[in-house]
Amino acid sequence: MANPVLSVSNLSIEYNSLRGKVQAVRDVTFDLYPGETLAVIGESGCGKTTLALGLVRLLPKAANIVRGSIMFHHNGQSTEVLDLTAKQLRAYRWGDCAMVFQSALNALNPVLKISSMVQDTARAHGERDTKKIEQHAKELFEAVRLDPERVYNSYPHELSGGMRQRVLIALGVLLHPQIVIMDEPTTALDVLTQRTVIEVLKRLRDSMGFSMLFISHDLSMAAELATRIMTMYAGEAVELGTVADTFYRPTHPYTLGLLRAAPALHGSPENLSSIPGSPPNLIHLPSGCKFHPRCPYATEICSTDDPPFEQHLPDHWSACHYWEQPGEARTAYREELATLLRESQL
Amino acid sequence: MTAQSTLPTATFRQPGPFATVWAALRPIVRKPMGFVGLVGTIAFILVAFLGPVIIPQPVTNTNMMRQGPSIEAPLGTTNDGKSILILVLRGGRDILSIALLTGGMTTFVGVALGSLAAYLGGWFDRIVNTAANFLLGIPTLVLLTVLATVIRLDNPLPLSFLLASLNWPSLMRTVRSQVLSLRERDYIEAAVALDLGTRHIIINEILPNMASYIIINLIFSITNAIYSLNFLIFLGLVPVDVKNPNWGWIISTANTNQAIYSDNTRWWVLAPVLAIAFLQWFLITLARSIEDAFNPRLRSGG
Amino acid sequence: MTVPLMELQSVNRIFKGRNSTVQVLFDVSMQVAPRETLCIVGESGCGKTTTGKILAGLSKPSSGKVLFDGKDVSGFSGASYADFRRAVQIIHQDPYASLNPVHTVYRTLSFPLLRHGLVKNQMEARARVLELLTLVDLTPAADLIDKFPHQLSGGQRQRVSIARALTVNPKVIIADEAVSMVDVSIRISLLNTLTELQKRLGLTFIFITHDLAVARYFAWEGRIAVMYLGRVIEEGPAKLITDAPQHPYTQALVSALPEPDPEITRRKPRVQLRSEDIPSLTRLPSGCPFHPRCPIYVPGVCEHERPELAATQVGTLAACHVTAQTSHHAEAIAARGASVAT
Repeated sequence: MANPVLSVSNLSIEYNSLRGKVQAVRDVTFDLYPGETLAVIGESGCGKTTLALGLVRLLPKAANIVRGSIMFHHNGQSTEVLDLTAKQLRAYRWGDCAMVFQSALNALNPVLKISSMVQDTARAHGERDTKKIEQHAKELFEAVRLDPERVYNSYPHELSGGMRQRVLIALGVLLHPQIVIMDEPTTALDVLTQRTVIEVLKRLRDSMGFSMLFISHDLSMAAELATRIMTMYAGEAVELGTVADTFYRPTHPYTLGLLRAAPALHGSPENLSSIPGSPPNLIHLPSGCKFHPRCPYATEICSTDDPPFEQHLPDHWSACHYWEQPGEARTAYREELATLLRESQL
Repeated sequence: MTAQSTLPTATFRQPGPFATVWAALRPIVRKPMGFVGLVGTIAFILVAFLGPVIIPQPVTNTNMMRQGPSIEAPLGTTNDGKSILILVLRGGRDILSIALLTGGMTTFVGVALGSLAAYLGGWFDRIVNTAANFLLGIPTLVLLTVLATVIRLDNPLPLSFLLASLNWPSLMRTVRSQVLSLRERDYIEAAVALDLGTRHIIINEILPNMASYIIINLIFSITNAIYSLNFLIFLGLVPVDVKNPNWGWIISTANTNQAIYSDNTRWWVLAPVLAIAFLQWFLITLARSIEDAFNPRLRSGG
Repeated sequence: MTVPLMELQSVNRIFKGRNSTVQVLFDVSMQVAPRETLCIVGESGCGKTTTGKILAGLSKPSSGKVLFDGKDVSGFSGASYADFRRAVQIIHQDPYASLNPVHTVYRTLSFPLLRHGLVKNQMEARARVLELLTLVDLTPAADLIDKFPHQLSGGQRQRVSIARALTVNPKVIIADEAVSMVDVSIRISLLNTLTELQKRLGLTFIFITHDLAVARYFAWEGRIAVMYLGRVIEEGPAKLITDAPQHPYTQALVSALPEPDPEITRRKPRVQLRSEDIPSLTRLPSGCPFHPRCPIYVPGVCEHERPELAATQVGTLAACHVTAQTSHHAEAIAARGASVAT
């Protein structure tokens, strides 16, 4: 593999809350390669949004990065993002690493026209030529399947939710960043609009070649877009692997649990099951493996020893003492499903 | 736990009244501002009501007229040789009792009409709003001045009633807008579906969500009443017992007797003014700390 | 045929604003048999939530009838209304807004029990609440009964909502996106609880959702009705609707939904729509409301005449000229060479 464009090691982020220190992200390590799409999948409270905010250092005041490093590699140079000054940080954000937030409704200033926002963004990063910026923005609007003329001159409230999300995406890639971080890009969008956004993201990614890191709770989105998937639980990365490996040969019981809990338009409902229990309190985490109270494979050792996040197979990391078993369970299910699908000629 | 455990009757005990009050007061008292506000307010109320009972009425003393501060009269004396300090300690009762009564009435009417108007809507809402808009258009103090010349306002009850009937509209409006938004909440819709009844929904579902808001508005109604009342008393529109003057009357008397211009009698004006000002300050501080304690968004710390 | 437990007959709903009037439901008819599950599926703006509120009796139709057990609801008053009011309950979407934050679980659940005389005193209420909590799989019930909503997780709150609905022994439960705001890993378990309750208590469910996959799972033995711009455009057994959708809109939904399997989802044939603009309810297209986006649009037919729900070849009902078995536009359709994708 080529050299990564972003290397994150042992990143740990804590929040100060009235009840104690919330360990939102603990010892997360991963690399992001050029042109790849890494999906960070997890449920509420797993730390994925905190992680994304940490990567661009947009954490709220109550949060602290207590440990770790974020190295950005570009043009043969490596920079430690955590050491950037405020001025350098502003250039880094959007210029090198853009973040597109969820809740497109609130991300756009309602009293500014889209054109103003485009120009302001570009100008804040040193671009002066308004004509050139306008041209570029309109091209991007075209690429995200928006009517360039109409959208460029409108106010946010004149656009639908899906259109606003696409505007945000276009704004995100305006300055040709190396990395685009997307937080829940299609949550709150209708199915058909969501499909448009997915296709748009694929097209942009293929034509502009940026690396995409997208945060979602939706495994199906990862199935659509990702080259690799990282599942997070209780602030930790519990599995990291290619999309095929994660879906067909998972090595962590939580990933298996998520797969089993995802309803689909094919297959029989008997195969679906929930993960019992609920996510742990991030202030008082369980001992040993944080997932063990809900894990079907847990034994004595799981409650005492926290399994390290290690590479068990080529290109496939996980934090589990019994990492082989989820894959076996999944293979059996897949075989059944393949037979079923063959029979129904889907 | 055994599968067939019958519920022992003694395990469940509703928290007692003291526990509930303490639970409500604790977040306020924990912060210095809240503590000060609460203690100050309670102190004022105690002094205002117990003062006239414990402290004997001062008598005219021609030997001590218009004296500066001394040991017998730490704040000096009036024209009649009475100790200003004693007058002030005894002078809060009328003001506080009328203000508390007015505040209570205003809040009760404002909350009742506001919540019913918002919840029921329709013609009731229209009538209440029209009445409120009408009253809001009237300059309160001017009207009170006019009315005072026509009616004798010596009884606390009619006076409070009058003040309250002019003050309820603005509280009603804010309560109404709060209830309008609360009415749309899912749990209210569920209560409607469960056929719990309008009375239950307003009293048990909606108002408890506005508890701190209502208390704060109660406190502000009281402060408003204190202002209006002092205004009326100062203008001499309210009959006052000259032998047991209240703060407003003390100020008025002091003014007529040119108390400000003499060093010795400075406190004749200042003491009641400061009494009123401190009372207002304690009340407002208490209100703000209640708001702080019950509004989670204002709490610092992320 | 048994009398449907709930029925809508040609219901229209118009909202009158200060300057504008918007019609959100057009001629909506649907039926649910006792003990059946009906899922109403559609995107935002299709009118499914309004339909749910009308079914729950929380909103009145502008025209048309709502029937409960064969009787017109608008004719109910006094005791019969009270019975209806209690027989149909609702579960909301947002677990953080569906419970009153100032009351404990016990208080919230005991109010309806005490009010309607279903228990005699607080002691009985306490026992019944513990029973209900166990029924909705909220265990250990004794630990949770005195907790406030903010001390519970989203999934637990939804279960309390379900328990609350069950306090008055309803016959019908209308769930409006009841699992959409809950973590994916516990959705299935919530839906399973609802299914269990249905079997145990003989409940009828009307489940509103935008997620076809969830609808397919929950209504596995029931029916799905697909709504678009205030109308029901397809209806039938859940399996048929998702495996063999007939209406082009349903087909578009099925093809657009990402699936939790990379091979399947990346190879799925995509239905390409003619236009991406979603029409607003204030300016509806003429004829068939889907025609500006419809891939099998037949010029001259679809924009002139609105199709009614009619039988399709697989046995479902769809409002489409092309799929209707007996369409008097057969010639025009054949001429265009339109093909019906199965």
